[in-house]
Amino acid sequence: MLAGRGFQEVYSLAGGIKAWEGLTAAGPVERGLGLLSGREDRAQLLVIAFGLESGLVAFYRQAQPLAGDRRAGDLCQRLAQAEERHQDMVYGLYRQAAPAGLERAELARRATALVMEGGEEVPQALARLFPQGFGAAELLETAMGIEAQALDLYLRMSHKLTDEPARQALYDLAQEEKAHLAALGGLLEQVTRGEPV
Amino acid sequence: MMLKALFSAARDMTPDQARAFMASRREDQYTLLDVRQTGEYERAHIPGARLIPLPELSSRFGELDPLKPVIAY
Repeated sequence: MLAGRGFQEVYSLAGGIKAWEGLTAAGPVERGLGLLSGREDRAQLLVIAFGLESGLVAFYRQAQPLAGDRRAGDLCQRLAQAEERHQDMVYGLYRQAAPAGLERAELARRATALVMEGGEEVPQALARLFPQGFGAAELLETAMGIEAQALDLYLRMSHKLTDEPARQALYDLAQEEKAHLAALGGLLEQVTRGEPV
Repeated sequence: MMLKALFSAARDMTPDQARAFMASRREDQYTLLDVRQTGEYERAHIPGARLIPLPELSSRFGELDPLKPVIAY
């Protein structure tokens, strides 16, 4: 069908999603898209992304007291720090797009820190995901699920935006999420093998 | 679903090949297309997939860039 419409390179995923053993996302196409109108420019889009990253930092910080053991608690701190570095990157991109823009502290103050990258509020997410505490493997599996949702949200946002530089910022962020997912996968393998992390 | 029969010129890509393909490219360099029904997409989809249910594809293919590789499922 597509090949007959001028599409040059079309692949069919063998076995469909049933054969897909990688991470998946869930939820409707529109989930989380209320955060943007679609008319944002690059700087405005990065402010939204900064707020979403703030939510994820808050998630790991608020999860830490719920950890079932010290290793899981330490991992929470490490993941929060990784997200803060991710925020630094987002802020750097923001200041490139808006040289006279807001200071980082002001941006952080404005961020609600209530909604995570996947579009869910932090207290709700914690109650749903960790009703009875968690260990390191459970935390990492959950983190990978959250990152997959975040990657999905950023890419669905890119479909809604009309400004090309703003879209490109989302593709940059998606690359970051992919790298973060790979790092989390490596940590999970270490934990599964009983190695120190 | 036999997508290959619907996309006559489509080539099969295994999940491992698809993962390698996606890992080596930015998301603006290809299209991941979910042609299942909306409820199936909502239950689980590959992150970043664009949903266009198969019955709508003939009227919505203009939303896709024909110059980019498409991986459909």
